[in-house]
Amino acid sequence: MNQKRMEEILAQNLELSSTVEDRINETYRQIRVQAMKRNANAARRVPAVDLAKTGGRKKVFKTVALFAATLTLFGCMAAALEEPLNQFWMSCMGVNQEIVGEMIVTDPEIVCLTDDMPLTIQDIYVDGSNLVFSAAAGEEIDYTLYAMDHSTVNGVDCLLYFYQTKVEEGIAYYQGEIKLSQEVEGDLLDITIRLYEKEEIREIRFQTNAEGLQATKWIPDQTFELDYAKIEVTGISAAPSELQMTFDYSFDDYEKAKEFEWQLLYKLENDKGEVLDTMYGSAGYASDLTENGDKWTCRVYLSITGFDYTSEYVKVTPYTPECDSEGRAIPDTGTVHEEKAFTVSLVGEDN
Amino acid sequence: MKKIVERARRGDPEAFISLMEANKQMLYKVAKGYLKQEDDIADAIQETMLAAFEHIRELKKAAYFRTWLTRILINKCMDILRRQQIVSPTENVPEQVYFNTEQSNLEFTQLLDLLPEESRMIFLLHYGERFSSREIAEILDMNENTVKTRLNRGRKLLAHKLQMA
Repeated sequence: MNQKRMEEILAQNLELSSTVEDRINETYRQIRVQAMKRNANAARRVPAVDLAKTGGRKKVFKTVALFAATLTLFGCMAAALEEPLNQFWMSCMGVNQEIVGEMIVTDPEIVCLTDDMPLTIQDIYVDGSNLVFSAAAGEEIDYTLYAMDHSTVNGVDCLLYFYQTKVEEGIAYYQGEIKLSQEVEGDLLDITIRLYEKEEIREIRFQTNAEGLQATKWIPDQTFELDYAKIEVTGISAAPSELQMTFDYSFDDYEKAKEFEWQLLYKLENDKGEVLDTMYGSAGYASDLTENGDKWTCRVYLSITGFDYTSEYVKVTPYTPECDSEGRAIPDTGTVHEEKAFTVSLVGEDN
Repeated sequence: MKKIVERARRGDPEAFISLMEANKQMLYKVAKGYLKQEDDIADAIQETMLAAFEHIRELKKAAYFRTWLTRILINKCMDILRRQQIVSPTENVPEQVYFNTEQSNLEFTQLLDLLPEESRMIFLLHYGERFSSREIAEILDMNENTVKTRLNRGRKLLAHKLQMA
């Protein structure tokens, strides 16, 4: 045996024993159960937000942001215990909650293209970024349904998060959340999801109205030349359910780039002066700091719920939070880097 | 991959499970480097997956995911070995038993036995799992230069053993 052969042997795939395979499958089952319990606990912690009683939009904004802080610890995964398209998911919508509520269609017109459809769609919400539905499983389904995390909408591959929200009088209720992209277009949405059923995969397909897609602003790319970096902002969309964009940073100076790496969080200000913290949403490195010729680059993607999607702009201000002893960022602390702020126009292509 | 890690960090069990599926070969091979019995290997992998699911929100960067997961696994393997020593302190680790007789597994376990003990895991992580010396240093909590030295020394020892054989 030479070294090459040794490397081949170490790199080759092994046949997992049935003992290990069975245990891994059992572990996956435990993980799914844990996730469901976690979702249910998260939903119980969140009281419904009554817009009429909060006395002012800013107060609602702060209250919802505070709820969202708790919720995002659980990944902003919704779990309805009481409501159709549950309060948990709704409370993540922040100041857009009212419009989102108006856009939810109860008992929607659904064209079912699957024989023996195991689910009855009860409520549906659609904008250009998200398609969310609640559904009841048929009485004959006496086991928990799981879905593959890829669905197809109008032929476009879209991520799906599908989970059980409650079981009442023997009926299991589910919520599905599909991430849409600009490629999904048309008057009708043709949706295929794939359910794991025993050891088989069962495809279900249905169609619904696509009117909600219009509620999203798709915004042209923008570039900012600042003292410390050049920032290209792409993939900008503002929908009632989510604000999304990607920042491609390019630095001339390695020291500036390294310093920036620790300023992952942002404060996002809308045209009414209301500020939302990305600690309550998601901002993460899509790619680490990389050397590209004489530049240092990194990509940050931003996705946040609760930002006023009607705002004409978002002012993006990076900040470095203080952290607790376990390394968790502490809200409303740290240094705000006002000099590194930039303002992204949210005026859509058709405006 | 990073997007899946990010989704798993946000609590999506399907994203987490797809990460585990992508890494189960690595988990199995590394656990096999420490543990002989398939039941123990299954215990180590199960404990690792559950601990990782519990703590994935604490992972600072998606890019560190594999390093982080491997480190959890190695800690679990060490825990199992420690427990076995407490239960039977006078007994040595049982002789290698090849429960799985697949040819690829047999070659793999025989090669592990042939590798110098101090560099067995380093070889496995470097050649088997393509970790860099720096990542291996982090996983095994040792100096990067020690990793490089052991890799080099191990190669020479192995060449010598093979020559003798």
